[in-house]
Amino acid sequence: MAKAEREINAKPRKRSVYESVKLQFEKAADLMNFDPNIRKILSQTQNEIIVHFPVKMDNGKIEMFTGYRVQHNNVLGPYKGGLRFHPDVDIDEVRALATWMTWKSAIADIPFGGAKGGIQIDPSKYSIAELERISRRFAFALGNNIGPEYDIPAPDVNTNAQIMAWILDTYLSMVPANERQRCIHVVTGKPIESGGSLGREKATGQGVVYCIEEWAKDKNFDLSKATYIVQGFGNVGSWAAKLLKPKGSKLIAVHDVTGAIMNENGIDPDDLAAYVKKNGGVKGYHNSKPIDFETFIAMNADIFIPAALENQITDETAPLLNVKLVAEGANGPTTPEGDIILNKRGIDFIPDILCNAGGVIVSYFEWLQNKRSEYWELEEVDCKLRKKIVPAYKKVRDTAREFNTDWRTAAYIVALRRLEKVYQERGIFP
Amino acid sequence: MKKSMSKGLCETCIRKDECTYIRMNSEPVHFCEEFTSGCKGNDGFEFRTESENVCEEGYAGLCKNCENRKCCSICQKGMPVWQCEEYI
Repeated sequence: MAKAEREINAKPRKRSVYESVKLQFEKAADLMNFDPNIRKILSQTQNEIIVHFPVKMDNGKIEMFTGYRVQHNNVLGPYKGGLRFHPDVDIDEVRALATWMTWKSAIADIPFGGAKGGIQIDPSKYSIAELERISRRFAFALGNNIGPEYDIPAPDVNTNAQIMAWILDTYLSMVPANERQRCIHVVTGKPIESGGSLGREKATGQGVVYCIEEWAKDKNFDLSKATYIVQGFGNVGSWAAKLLKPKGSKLIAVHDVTGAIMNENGIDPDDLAAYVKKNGGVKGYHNSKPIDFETFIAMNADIFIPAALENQITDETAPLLNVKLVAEGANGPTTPEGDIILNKRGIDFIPDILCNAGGVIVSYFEWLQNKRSEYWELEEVDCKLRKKIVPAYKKVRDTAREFNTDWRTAAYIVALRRLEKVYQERGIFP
Repeated sequence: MKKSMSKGLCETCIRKDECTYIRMNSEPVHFCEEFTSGCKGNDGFEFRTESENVCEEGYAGLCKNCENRKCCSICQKGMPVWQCEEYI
């Protein structure tokens, strides 16, 4: 048994997020006999930028802020990844998330590398005007470490389309006047009016549904007779549920931040989404009965869509699951120990890195539209998303068969093969 | 299964006290689809929209401060008018 696999099979212990990401990489690399030289390259980030910058507060005082941008790899294309504003942002976390973006882009076969960044800040403590100045000054501090053909930030935790618009505007102010119109794609996740893409809001949920459809085809499974449960009824969970409704699938239970509900006769996702928007959660939804988490996780259904947070399918909860498929809409919902149990129990799963790649794929479409000065119709975005994610799904499925391994490891192998090939073709300078 | 101490995103999430997600270990949360910060608006901040041109009564554009707005048969609430021969 290889070192990485032994480590995963060992007793659960606390690992940093960067350790977890590296462990999964090592496991896949061991299995595929990954080129040891390229392994060395991908084991490290390429650039780590730390900036300290001053911003004038509303009271006239100056405050210093620390921002990060970690660029893991750009062999497939420009660095790509979100910017988060949170007091917990540190170099270790940003390294892990940047590395993860490299694998995600490679699996989806889009010409991007991996990056991540952010500012160590609690945005709730600042006014909107202060946040604008902080965002702009951060963009200024990063300077040409970002760029439309070099490193393309996007929204993440506590950042949104408005912040992307500020960063875009600041970046454009730093380039010569005659080049500004050629640089709109320096960020994605922009407001529609400022060059954002239609379909971005539902993209991740749409990708989840396309993956589920492919799984159903493979298994000769009739989705119109399927039942499913969803954890998390935010953007990803609610869109996945709303998009499964026309297929005839029946939503029978939902767990979110406020509690869990069930109705074996079916819950209308559109009606529930409207209720959640008004009431902040699923708790108290009419036409359903409240249940506890243990009942929710053990519900007898065909599909489980975890679309909330990390580490929900563990050595404690995986044995309780009573489903045929886990479609990971959230990032990291299954622990390595949970993975082992799912595999032992023969429960299929579509790993997060593939299943929720719809978001980054449509970000790529936004970037392309800006580059070409085009606006695509929603139907065109959906169609192109399907054409990207379905081959990725098939590639992971076939790789799992080829290596007789689980789908998560297979997904990493797909990513690593793509990167390995490019490095082998291009060689190392000098 | 016990809820563990708030970590990572949970530290600044305004829903941490009502959160029913089970945390099985002490790892900080890095991703959460339902993370809600203390900032204005559901997703963090308020977006600037065309509503800035709409006054409290719902009139927009020139109608916003036109003296005839309440008896006008042309203007529609929420629809900005930018050219009007009747504007006072």
